[in-house]
Amino acid sequence: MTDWNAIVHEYGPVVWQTAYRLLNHEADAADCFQRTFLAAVELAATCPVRSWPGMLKRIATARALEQLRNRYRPAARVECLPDSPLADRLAPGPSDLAEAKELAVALRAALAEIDPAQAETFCLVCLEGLSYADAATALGVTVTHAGVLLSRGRAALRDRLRAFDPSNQHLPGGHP
Amino acid sequence: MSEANNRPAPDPLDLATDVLRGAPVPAGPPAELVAATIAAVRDRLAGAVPAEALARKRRRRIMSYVGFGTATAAAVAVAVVMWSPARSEAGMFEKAIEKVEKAKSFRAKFTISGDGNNKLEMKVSARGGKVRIEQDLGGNMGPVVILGDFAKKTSLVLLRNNKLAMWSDDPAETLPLPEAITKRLAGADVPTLVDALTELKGAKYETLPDEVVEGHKAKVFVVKGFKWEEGEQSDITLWIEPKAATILKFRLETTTGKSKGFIQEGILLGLDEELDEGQFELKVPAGYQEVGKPEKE
Repeated sequence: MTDWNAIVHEYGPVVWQTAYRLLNHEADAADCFQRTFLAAVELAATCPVRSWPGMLKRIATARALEQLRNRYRPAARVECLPDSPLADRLAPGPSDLAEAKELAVALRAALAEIDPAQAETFCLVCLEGLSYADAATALGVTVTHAGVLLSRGRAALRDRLRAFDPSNQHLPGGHP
Repeated sequence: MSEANNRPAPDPLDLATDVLRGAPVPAGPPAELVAATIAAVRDRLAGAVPAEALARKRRRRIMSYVGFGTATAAAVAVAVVMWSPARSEAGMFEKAIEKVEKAKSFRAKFTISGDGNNKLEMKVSARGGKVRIEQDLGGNMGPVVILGDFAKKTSLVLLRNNKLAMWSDDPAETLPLPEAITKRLAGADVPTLVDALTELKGAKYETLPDEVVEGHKAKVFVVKGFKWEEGEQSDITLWIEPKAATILKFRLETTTGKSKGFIQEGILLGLDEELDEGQFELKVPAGYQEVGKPEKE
């Protein structure tokens, strides 16, 4: 018999961090938090849980990415317009901090755009720090498959962040 | 050739990943959230029906009450789901406007035209009474960043090619920007197009055939005769993504008055985001020559 009171208390901080890091919004993170544990209840009823943190991180990541897709989907598509790359080369304010935060915003938007399985794998490995093996177990795929998802995910994300690449020498003023 | 030129450029994805991984997270979860979650889990375990299942049960009851055949009953169920205020056209229009009204920030790409062959393209971010405009004026001026603080009625124009930073409380004297933009930067109460959108609440509109905007089906609404400025009227067109009731694209064309023919078009890149305050700071970068610094801070 699962002690859900203990589960929520023990792993709540992990789920909260996973949700908030992706969503960067308290109300959305709270919504994701609750939906994660409710989904865990459903999952635990159907099969034994080998690793609570792994499973909960996976569910929280998937739910948060869903919310990001709902948040960004129309604008994210529009952001596929060839944005003027001069934006990242113009003199900003406190340049490093502003650029870094712009990158984080851009990465969240890009995660909402790419294939969901690739996004999930990227988040579990690169943000949550899971090993390939643990991520594969959480996702229910082979380690090789997880590696392929991660590789493709990184390529897709890198493509969407190309506007931030300082080596991009294209002239500004592109048109859709 | 300097050493800096030979250094490999950092991978933006690696940088972004590092930033996101290290993003500050407020202490949590809040105790109330934990308590509410435990209660919700207990309800679920006790057999309480989740919201989605309740909705499905409601629709099945509707079908059985109607007593029609399966196909008709399914059509009724779909009609019940579709006929909810959020999904009706009027609801969609109002909800989209409300989202803009409540948003604490926006990012958009604008194209402004109408003065002969002149056409300006710019990227605009705005938050909390401050604005950042990025555009390329070409020629000797090249890339420009304009930072505006409406409360202080001050703007700072940064010319990258010339390494020049110009303070101004009258941007119209400085750069060839549309009057509506320069007046706004100078603190005059002239709405930008995004401000104007919030005044469309309750406006009478016409609908046009659906269009596809960047791969998304959009409902098209037109408000005619909108009062843009004293003595002027404009037609505003909105392309709204129906499921999320989000504005994808907007267009304002002035039809009467001295600005007749003035057209602003915009693609909304982001709404109500946590934009970094630093990008709006009116600060002169190192190495720039400063011109016209205001006497008081």
